[in-house]
Amino acid sequence: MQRIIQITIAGRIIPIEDNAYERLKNYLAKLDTFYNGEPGKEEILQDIENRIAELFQARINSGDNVIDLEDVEKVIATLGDVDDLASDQGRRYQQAAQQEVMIYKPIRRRLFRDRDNKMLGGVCSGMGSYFDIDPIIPRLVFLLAFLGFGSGLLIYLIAWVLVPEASTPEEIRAMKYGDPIDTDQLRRNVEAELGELQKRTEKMSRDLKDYFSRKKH
Amino acid sequence: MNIENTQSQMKKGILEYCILAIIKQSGEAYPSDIIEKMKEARLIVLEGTLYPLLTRLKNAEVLNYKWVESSSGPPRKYYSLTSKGEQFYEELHSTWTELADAVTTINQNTKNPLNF
Repeated sequence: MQRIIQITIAGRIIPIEDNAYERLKNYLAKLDTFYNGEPGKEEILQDIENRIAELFQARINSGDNVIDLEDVEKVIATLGDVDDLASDQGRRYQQAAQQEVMIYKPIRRRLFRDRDNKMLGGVCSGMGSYFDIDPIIPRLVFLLAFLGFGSGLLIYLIAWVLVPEASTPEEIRAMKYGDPIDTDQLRRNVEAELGELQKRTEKMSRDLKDYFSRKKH
Repeated sequence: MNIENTQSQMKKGILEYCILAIIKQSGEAYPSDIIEKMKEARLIVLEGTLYPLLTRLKNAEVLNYKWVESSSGPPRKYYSLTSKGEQFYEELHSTWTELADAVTTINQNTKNPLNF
């Protein structure tokens, strides 16, 4: 036994069996969630309701007195149940959300040479990224130091040798999108950088020693 | 790597192109006509996938629609291309032709690996 109720959908009055109505209501609620965040969501849902009303009307015009569960299932199959719609189009959203989480995972900002925006070795554009300033500033400072004291070029060349180039995506991320630095962090970063610098200098002097001792033999 | 994901990515771009092509051929088209034409061409798409695409294309001013009274139910939206849409279609059409040529050429090369 089924109770018959009347609903209005897209301005049409439709007699529908109780369980069919429950199924339809449930479907529309799932669609409502499914299209969340989609621009024009209201319009899409309205289009779908119009289409449902049209399919129901066609059913009634063909001699059915009432919409039953089977009719609703047919309509849902035509429009696509939420799972089918998700496999038709929805994966992208899930994936995008995951990527976003990855991008916003905090990473320590590090000093690298930026080969994509370099004039010479990318030292200054790397410094620009590091301090969130326009690379023109370190460039001018280096230029002035070179013209004024002559030591600018030497310091630049040393930095060129010591500061690694950002070559992996991970390094580029650390260079550009690492947590912006405040003074406290700057101190810690400088300490960490100096530690790494020391390691690199030690390695370099070992390499040089190896190189020369091999040359002697 | 997920085969369904790759497939749906492939389908997505082509879908917009096919929708515009169908609307262009008919001058004006109603969503379930578009679905019918796609089914005939064995490009199976759910209506629930089509509506968001149409709305997106309409919001991008590629399509517009007008309401037409229907004897079998509520008024229907009939979509047509805007002038921007015509241009959009032409561009997609030439991209598709290039891609189809490229894929055909590559597949031919795979069949005869020695034929450069």
